[in-house]
Amino acid sequence: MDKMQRAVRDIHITDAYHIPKSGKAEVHPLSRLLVTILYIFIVVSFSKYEIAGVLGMAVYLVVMGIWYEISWIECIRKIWMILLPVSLVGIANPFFDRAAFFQIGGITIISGMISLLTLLLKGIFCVLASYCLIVTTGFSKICYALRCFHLPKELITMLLLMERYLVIFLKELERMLQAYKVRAPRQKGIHIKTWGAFVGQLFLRTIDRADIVYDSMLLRGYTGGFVGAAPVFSWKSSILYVVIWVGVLVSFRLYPVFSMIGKLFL
Amino acid sequence: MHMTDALVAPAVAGTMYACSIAALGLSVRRIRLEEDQKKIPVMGVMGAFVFAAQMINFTIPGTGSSGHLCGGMLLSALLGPSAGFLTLCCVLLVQCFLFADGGLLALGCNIWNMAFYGCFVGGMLIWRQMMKRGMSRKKILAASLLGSILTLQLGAFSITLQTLASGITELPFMVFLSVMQPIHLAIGIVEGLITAAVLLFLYEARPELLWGYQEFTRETVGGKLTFRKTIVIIAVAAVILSGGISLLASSDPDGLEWSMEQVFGAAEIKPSGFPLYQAAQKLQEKTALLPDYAWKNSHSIFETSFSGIVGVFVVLILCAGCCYLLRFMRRKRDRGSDGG
Amino acid sequence: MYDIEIQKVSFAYPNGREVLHDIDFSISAGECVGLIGANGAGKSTLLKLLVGLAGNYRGKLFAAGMPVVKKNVAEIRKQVGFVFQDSDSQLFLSTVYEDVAFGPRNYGLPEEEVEKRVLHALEKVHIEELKDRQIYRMSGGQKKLASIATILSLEPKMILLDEPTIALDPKNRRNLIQVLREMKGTKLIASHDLDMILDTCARTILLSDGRVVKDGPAEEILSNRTLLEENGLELPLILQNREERLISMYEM
Repeated sequence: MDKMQRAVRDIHITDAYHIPKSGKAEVHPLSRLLVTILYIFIVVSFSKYEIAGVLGMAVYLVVMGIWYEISWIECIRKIWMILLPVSLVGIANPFFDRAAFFQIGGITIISGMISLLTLLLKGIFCVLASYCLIVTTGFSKICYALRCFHLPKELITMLLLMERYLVIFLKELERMLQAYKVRAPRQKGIHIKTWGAFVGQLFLRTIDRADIVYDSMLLRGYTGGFVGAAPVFSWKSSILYVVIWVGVLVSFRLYPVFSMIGKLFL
Repeated sequence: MHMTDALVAPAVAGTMYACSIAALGLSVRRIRLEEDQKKIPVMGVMGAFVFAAQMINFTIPGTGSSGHLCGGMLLSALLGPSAGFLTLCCVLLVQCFLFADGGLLALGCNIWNMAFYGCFVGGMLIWRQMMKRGMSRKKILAASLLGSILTLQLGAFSITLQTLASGITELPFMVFLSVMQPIHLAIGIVEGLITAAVLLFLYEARPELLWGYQEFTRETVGGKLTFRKTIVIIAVAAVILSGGISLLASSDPDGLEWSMEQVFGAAEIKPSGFPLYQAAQKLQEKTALLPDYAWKNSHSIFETSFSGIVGVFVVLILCAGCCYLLRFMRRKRDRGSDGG
Repeated sequence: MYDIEIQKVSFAYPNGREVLHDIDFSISAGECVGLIGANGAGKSTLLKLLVGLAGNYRGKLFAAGMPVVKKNVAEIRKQVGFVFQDSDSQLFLSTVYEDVAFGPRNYGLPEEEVEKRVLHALEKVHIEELKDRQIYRMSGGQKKLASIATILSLEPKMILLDEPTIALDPKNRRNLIQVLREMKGTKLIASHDLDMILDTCARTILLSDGRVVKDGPAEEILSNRTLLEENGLELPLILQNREERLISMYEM
């Protein structure tokens, strides 16, 4: 079951990046989250023929990717994930939207192709932006940022618990599946007769574990909800981070910056 | 199916966020009213369970393919609609923030399409109503099947609407719909069968774990009130939804309105305020008559696009170069400080 | 002054099965007591009763000088630490630091005090270097030490441990025994790892089918082969070896 191993691996890779260098002040997670949201918002807001504008948004990704040494291979894997659904939806565009956009060397590029390409770029950029956020910030700090957004503390508690038990359950499931496979070597998945028992058993184990977890929380003074400690961050760099990126991204959206630069070279 | 960021326009995403947040707020309030401290940890651990269960391949007999579990109906049958909804929200949040699956902007859509229908329609309208007069094996099977099929159909319909309202695809509405609905019917049947199998197993093993088992077998009143509440939730949500869409339609002509015209084959296309779009439209007219002239007319668009793309690459190379340089310097400094 | 006082305590699960029957013993401050018995003898249930996790019981039960009733439970839990058998269930946050800090934070201590306590607790179990480690990346032995640290950070008067050495390899087990011996305060260790009990506890209580069968010095109970075997246990390995050696010497 490679999907499961991949999920476990993803978690490992993600938290390998932002190993807290103890005591070192960082950018506040909220500022990272805000910039990411703004970025995705701007990318999506380009109209479907504005390919140059969308392409320009790659600047953010390239800068983040290089600065934080994000692995290209992982990025490509993330892109792969998004490609299918986006192209399924966009594949019809070249067939239905047949106006000529421009001609180059005798080949007419029709607007449908441009809109498909724009859509793909948007999909890729958005997923990479989310990935940048995860890798640079880490899940528990994102949770802290969400808490700053006034997400209910119940939800934050659940998110933190879920992150903790994800790997344990995935590994438990892996063991169960291995035990199943050894006794049913030729099956691809779980046979219909055991659907209920298999998931049901996993569920019963879940409930038992939840009981103990709750007891353990009670014994250490739990009174409903926890959000973890505030991360160490510096106000100065956080504000600078937001101001610079907001300035750059918004000016890319409002002014034809790239067109102007391009004309210098043409 | 997860919606992705690229498939939603900001206005659609915002509307769906508003709806999902409303449902979220209501669920949190209801959980708080229950004053059961234990519920939150149980729900958190359950979220991890659903995430794991979604990874299992279920062989579908006679087809050689395999099905998967989404979990909305299952969760609401185990925890109740509000708790189930919150748990599924967490699963979606984790998928979004830990695996970059689904996307930040589309999160509102995803919560609505999967968690809201799965838990509130499946749990409240179907599970609760069917189990009111006691549980039985047949009822569990019927409720799981019906609930899963209905909620997935609603989800698929929403996806179609959201995508079209965002003006992303040129696909005619009916074509898109006729692809989405049958696929999700099949998915729904499989999901229903898996849900039924799990619930039946638990019904035999530990029936008290099923939502409302004690309550329904003891015959209590008060079910009607919560049912009414659900109707109110749905009504409010529908009002917000339609309001949001109409707002969108009036403010963003190249979004919904335009795609609707495409879809329903409206003959007249209203001039929109968007220059590129207008240009493309003119282009279309011209190409119908004299394709050779189209090139000249669109020369300016082409030029801006082309110079824009050149500009992007120049800036990209510049940025990348600077970043590499800075990174190199940072590393050197780090190494220097480590050594000293 | 007793830290734990149990007078004629009986306990039955809601389904009516009685797991503890007229239990009667007390533990003075600073003592280290081993609670032994076969599976299902009622060891874990007894420990859970002491911190108010199991439910209603009959008889009189005092922990940290207070009767175990609902209104005292919060105060008792502050003074009596409980280490669960399954460390994965006990450690529910993502990093060691966060998890060890969970208890002190819940009791509203200022952040500097929390940090001091966390570092001190980690020091006591010798895993200071794992402070920022993700819990799912740790080995079973490390997790066990971390879960003991989560309790130590609350600075409890006494500690209850449920099967601390289960699923540990010999090296980690020896390390844990070392840590247990260094720990101050009252300790009640439930286990069927009799070698570990022999190494850490001066006194042992033998439970069988929910009753106290024998209460006395560890050396004496743990070397009584017939008594142990009658109650589903075996001599500690170290004593078995000694016995075998004696027999072989005699035969020669």
